[in-house]
Amino acid sequence: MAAPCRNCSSLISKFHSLALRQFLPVVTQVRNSQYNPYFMEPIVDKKQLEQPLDESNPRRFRPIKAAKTEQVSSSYFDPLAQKFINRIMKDGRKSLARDILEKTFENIKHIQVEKYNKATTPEQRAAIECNPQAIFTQAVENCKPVLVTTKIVKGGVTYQVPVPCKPNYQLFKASKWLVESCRDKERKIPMEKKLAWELLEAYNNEGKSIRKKQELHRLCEANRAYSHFRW
Amino acid sequence: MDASMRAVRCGKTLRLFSALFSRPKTHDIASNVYSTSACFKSASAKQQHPHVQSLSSCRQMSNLAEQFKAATAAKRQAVNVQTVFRTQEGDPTKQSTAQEGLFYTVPEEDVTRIFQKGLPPHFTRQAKTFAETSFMVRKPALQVIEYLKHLNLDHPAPRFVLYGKRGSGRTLSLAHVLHFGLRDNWVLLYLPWPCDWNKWPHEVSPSPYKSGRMDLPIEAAEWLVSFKAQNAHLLKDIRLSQSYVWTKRETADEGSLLLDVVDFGLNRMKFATDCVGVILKELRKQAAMHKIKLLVAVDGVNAFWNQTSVKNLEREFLMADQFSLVHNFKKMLLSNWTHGAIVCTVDAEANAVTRREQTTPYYLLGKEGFEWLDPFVPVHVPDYTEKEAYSCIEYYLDRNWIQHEAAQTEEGKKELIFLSNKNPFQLMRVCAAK
Amino acid sequence: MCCLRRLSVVHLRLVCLKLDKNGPKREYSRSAVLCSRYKQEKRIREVEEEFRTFKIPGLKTETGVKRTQRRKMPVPPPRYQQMPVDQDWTNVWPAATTFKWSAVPFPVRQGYVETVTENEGVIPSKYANAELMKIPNFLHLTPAHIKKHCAALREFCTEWPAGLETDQACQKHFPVEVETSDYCFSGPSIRDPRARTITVKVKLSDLDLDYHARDKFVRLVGDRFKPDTGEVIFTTDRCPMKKQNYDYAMYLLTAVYHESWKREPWEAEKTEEDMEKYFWDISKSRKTVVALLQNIGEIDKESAAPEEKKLQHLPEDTSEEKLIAHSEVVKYRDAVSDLRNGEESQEALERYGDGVRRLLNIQGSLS
Repeated sequence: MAAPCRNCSSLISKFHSLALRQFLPVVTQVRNSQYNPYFMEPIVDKKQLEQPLDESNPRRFRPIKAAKTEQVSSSYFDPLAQKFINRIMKDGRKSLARDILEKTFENIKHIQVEKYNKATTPEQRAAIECNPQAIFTQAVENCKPVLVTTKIVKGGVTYQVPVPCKPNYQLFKASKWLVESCRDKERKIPMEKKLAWELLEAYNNEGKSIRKKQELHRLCEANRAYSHFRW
Repeated sequence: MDASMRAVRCGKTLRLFSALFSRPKTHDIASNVYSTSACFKSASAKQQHPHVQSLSSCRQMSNLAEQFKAATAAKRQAVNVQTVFRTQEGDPTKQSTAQEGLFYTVPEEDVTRIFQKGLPPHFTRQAKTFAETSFMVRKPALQVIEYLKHLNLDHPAPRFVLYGKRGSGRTLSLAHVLHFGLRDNWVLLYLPWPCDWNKWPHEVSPSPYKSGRMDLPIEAAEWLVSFKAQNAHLLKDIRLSQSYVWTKRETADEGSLLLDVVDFGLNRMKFATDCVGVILKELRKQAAMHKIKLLVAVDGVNAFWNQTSVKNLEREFLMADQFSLVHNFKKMLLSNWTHGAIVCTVDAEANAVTRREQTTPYYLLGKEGFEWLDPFVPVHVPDYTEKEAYSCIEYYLDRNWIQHEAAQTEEGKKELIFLSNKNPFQLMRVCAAK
Repeated sequence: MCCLRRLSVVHLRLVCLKLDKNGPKREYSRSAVLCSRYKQEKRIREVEEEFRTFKIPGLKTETGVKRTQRRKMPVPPPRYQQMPVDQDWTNVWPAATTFKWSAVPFPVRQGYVETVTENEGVIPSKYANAELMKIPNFLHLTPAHIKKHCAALREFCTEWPAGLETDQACQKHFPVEVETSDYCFSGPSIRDPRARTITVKVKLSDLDLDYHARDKFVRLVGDRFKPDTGEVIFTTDRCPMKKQNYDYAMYLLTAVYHESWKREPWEAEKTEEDMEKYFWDISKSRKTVVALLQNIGEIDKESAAPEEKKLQHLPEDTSEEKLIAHSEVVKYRDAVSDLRNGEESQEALERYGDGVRRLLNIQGSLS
């Protein structure tokens, strides 16, 4: 590694990307990224920002990516929700997608808080989760597949081979199922309503998206015999 | 000022006490606080239990939902402070500036009686979720109520016009005044949103009484229903001062009950609009005899001087006052009858799209409307003050409406206030997703 | 190259032939013989002394040619070093010219250095500084220059008229300002069509007008009146000559002035909509307020309400004239007029509300 220099960070980054591409072609394969991999992610959390950097911290000499518009230092900032908004979004209409998710949270709260207020005993109340962020997070977590299948050609025959699912792909699959199972529902009902229902169902391990996950798992189970084709 | 500044720094408990003691009438408020001793307990509890469990311990738990539940439970335990955001003074006739910025709960029977229609949709939905309807006691409504309390009823009815930015709470201030009216035995003549007549009339038929005017039978019947629900208890003994002939066979004789006219209007939809006219006329007469006092309340009164979406036979758009309903109610807005008061709001949304730039009365009413209401007392409905905004957030927290953990902290609250710029409607929307 | 060599060989032969031909000439004349002998001897001598070289015409050899070098004049030191402190600057820099570093006696820097390495991080000085030459300088317009200019122009000036010392005095004595333009034009015609235009400016406040006449004047001149400066500006260019246009502008001004003083019979038909602003006296507001107060007066006479709730400020006589002159009504009138004529601000609305509350005795103030 080149010695870090304050004034020529861009030069170093160029050199680095070249070196990395030469020796670690897989690592540098970043699809659709404007930045070369030497750039670091920005920190948005205020508390983390306030902490001092030590001398050897790479943030001192490596360039930082510009923060995206949705990355804010708000105490209400939720990166998972931001990712999910991108899944909801159609034709780049992000503000609409954001509105939909916010209204979804509102609908979840309306459903749950109403239940909470109607419940009479403390035990019943304790069983009702009112926090929409928690419901959303758990619903996404419940929808994440453990295994996925991949196509592998052996001897002219294509096999659906079960492979373990990577975390990023898990999140992608879960959000995609959640959104798509809403889009399949009745067209005239607004998206925020359908999404609220779907999230609540997924939170309870029910519903369309959970079924989709289970179907995939079943397929993987059925194709267990092909799993050695992975290598 | 100094007290409030210090309060922000020292946290929730201190703010409570500074709010208590910065007011001159300490005893009045202290009686309205739930329990002051609870504050002491919670303050000590806060020191023992830290706000959030450390993140590393959270990670050990397998289920994310359990984590959230544990965290929120810990928080509820820690922050069990009942800050002053609520008053037990549920009777608007007894409220004063001491209760300013505090919420009071409207009894369920009052809500069903007055507000079958008229409250903003977002507010109604929230009220359903909260299992209660609460209004914040705010200065504009208090001011109008104060005027109404000191009124010389022998004088012609004075007019008050509430105006302000969008979402500043004009409709809810009007609702507060209406609740006062109900408790103070005023006969309420309430039009929730006459702009709807202009835009989406259900059914338009030519008036049988006067040619050239249009009747809105369904809207008239709707109004009769709500009028009956609001005022039936005050109108039991009111009798007609003259007889009215609907058709050859159907008449309302002199001395018959006014509520019979209401029922007749509901049964014979054709005459519902005329019934409204008769009722208004009779009520004016009865008020002049000091039997009742009338409170006319119109939300978005500037709709009366706007164009409608209905065309006449010459394919010209009708003006609103060509509806007999509007014509009759416009007469109620004139200051030529006694024993009553008129409270209106002006709203840019009730105007055509081209005339919505300002929110001030003259601009919204136009020359004709202004001259019709002149002289009136304009009452400005401002955005929340700092205290009111905090009170609103505390109320939402109390109703389990704001669920995000960050909203429990001072910083989170400040952020909500900043995002909404203290505009009540915006604050409501900002809090909706949190 | 090969071709050249063959040519030279041919040439050599020719010379030999010439030599042979010279032989018979010797017998004809003695002098010629002597001469030829001398020449021949010389030639033989030359041949014996050194090898004859063949000179190709046109071909110059560089060797041995010494270039004449121009004598270098010593560079004089820059002029600013020899300048006396009390010199006349106008002689150094008589007219507008590009910046010349050697003639400017003060230190000056201009330009931009991108890094610390460039020019040692110092902004370049005046020596050979192109940046200083690009920008305009005002070294020819120093106070000393202006003084000289004024002195030169003095003999062409007349004395400033007494009594016009201030701008206000000028404005007072000469309220009409006429603008004309002359153009120098090098062409077959010395006329310029732009020279005929006349602009006449008058302040409306300088004209003797009452309220009606002023309003009519403003309406007549239309957008020629500028409300922000209060000026009326006539621009005339419809006639071919400057003089004609000037006369026309003066005629316009006179005509509009006199016309605005006239009251035509149809002017009496002016209604509220035609008014240039809101007049409370002809407005509906006056009628409603008077009727309302008269109504309240009658009610209060019969009413049994406590005194403080009645309209105590109302005069006994509630005729219209009395009511209009009543102080509370006057306050209300001013508030309405402000609201309608000016901006509908928060303050104006509050004043209006206060006026109405006092007018109708609406009590109840929040503590």
